[in-house]
Amino acid sequence: MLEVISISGFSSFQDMGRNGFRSQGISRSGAADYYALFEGAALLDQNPNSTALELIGNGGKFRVLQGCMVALTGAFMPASLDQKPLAWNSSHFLHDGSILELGAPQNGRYSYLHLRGGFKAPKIFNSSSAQPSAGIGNYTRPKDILEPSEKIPETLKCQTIEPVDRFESTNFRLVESFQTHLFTPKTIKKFVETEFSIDNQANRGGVKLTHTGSGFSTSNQLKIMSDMIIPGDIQMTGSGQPFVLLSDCQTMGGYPRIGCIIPPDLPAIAQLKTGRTIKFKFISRDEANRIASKDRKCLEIIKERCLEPIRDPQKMADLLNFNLIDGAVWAKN
Amino acid sequence: MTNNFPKMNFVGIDGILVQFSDEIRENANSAALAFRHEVEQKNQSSIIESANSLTAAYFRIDTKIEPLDSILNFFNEMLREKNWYTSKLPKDRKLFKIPCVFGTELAPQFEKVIKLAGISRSQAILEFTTTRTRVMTIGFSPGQPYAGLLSKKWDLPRLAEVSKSVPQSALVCAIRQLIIFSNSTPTGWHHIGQTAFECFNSNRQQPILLRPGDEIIFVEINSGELSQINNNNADGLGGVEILEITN
Repeated sequence: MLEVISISGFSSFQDMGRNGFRSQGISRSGAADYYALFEGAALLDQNPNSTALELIGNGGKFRVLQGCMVALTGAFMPASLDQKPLAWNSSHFLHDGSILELGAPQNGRYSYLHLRGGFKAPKIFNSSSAQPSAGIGNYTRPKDILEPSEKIPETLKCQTIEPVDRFESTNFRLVESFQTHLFTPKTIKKFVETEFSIDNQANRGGVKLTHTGSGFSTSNQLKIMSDMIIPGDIQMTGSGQPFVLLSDCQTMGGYPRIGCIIPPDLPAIAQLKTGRTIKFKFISRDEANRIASKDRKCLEIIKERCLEPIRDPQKMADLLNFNLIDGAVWAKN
Repeated sequence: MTNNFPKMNFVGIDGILVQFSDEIRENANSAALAFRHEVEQKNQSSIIESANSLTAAYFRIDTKIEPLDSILNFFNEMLREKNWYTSKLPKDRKLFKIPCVFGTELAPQFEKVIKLAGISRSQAILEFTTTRTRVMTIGFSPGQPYAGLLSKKWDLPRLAEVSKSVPQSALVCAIRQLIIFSNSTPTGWHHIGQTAFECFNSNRQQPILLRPGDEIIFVEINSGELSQINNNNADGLGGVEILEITN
């Protein structure tokens, strides 16, 4: 059990999101980086849909009220327990009364704190993912008490995981969608030849892209009928500026979509920091499905990426607590 | 209808959109609502989620359960079954009479919009308070209705420059439709009225009240009356009167 001492503004509980409520205007939501949920679940031997705390911005500081086991995944944050460094992409025991500190993310936007048993959070429309901008759930705030949703008594070894590669992507794969044909072949050609930068206007709903040159418009763009939008869609706003939709995106929209980023590439684009440059490439529906099914298989066996951590004695502040000498003496006998 | 519709299209890698028109029409809306409803009745395990847009039915599918060709065949056969454009609207529809302030500083784009539509203030208000509009779909954000169709003079494009933000429960219009916003949001739609009706309110036993096929009509109030409603609006009903539609 943890108490929040400080936390960056838009941090919230997330799981794998909602299914089946689109007809009522409810967004899918869920972790911006679902690979991180799978990695956390593998480290803590639990369901990937367990509720995790998604941290955005400057991290946070937590007081451990009751000893517990946690895992840290997603964008790397400098982490410490009572000011002693903790390894990222790893699980750790936190003892009663200690202070866990997480700093600003270094190589991405979204970082995750997982608790063994998952965090306890109200299920709204079958999911504990918060989407405060839509009136669903709240951001996590200082003084909040974060409890496990179930207490698991048996102990687990601390592990470390080789993360799924996603923090250095520069090429993103798209499939055509039902509005791709609204753009002329010339516009589509220009789109795939253009290098885009990630704008600082980026959140769980989507990421704005910038580029030099004119925008990517369709004719009669302001009178297109609103229709389904999904995470991954790249929509062209009024001036023809691309905007990549992410997990908190609305269910319908009226801006034309040039294509849809395939789901296995979504965590990567969500994680990219402002100023990073990217390009897009259209692939066939068959190829997209092959990649998606390979991705699913990789996640099914994600536990194979776990290793017991190799501890560096130089960094072990608690070295004297380990009974190293006894072992040596015993060996002599 | 035309040679091109109904037709099937893809949304991302796992979505099928069965489209009944590429322009907003009431019969295409009825067709889309009925088609989705009847597909749902068939309980296909390969369909994991469905929803309606204005003139289309959306299905999220799982091709691990059933191959894509076979799912597309199923939709094709359903489409051939009948003329979907003459479908009846869903049963148990309701009429929502929603109090609304038109114009004033609460809804600053009203004056500009009636000029664009070429009518007077009183003509516009007469239309909104006597003509029922149909909730054609729920979407964008929780419980938010897209209602229409307004007469042709309201076929106004959205603004090219998105306004910073309009408040929750704002009444906005564009392209012959009306929306009451669930939440405060930036938008290209024209802000013409202000209600106190919350499309989504988790304090209510039924957080989302509007359903496709329901109808909306407005009751003109002044800003003093709106403040009075807001003073006692924990349930977010905003003074709405809900009546059964018998037909």
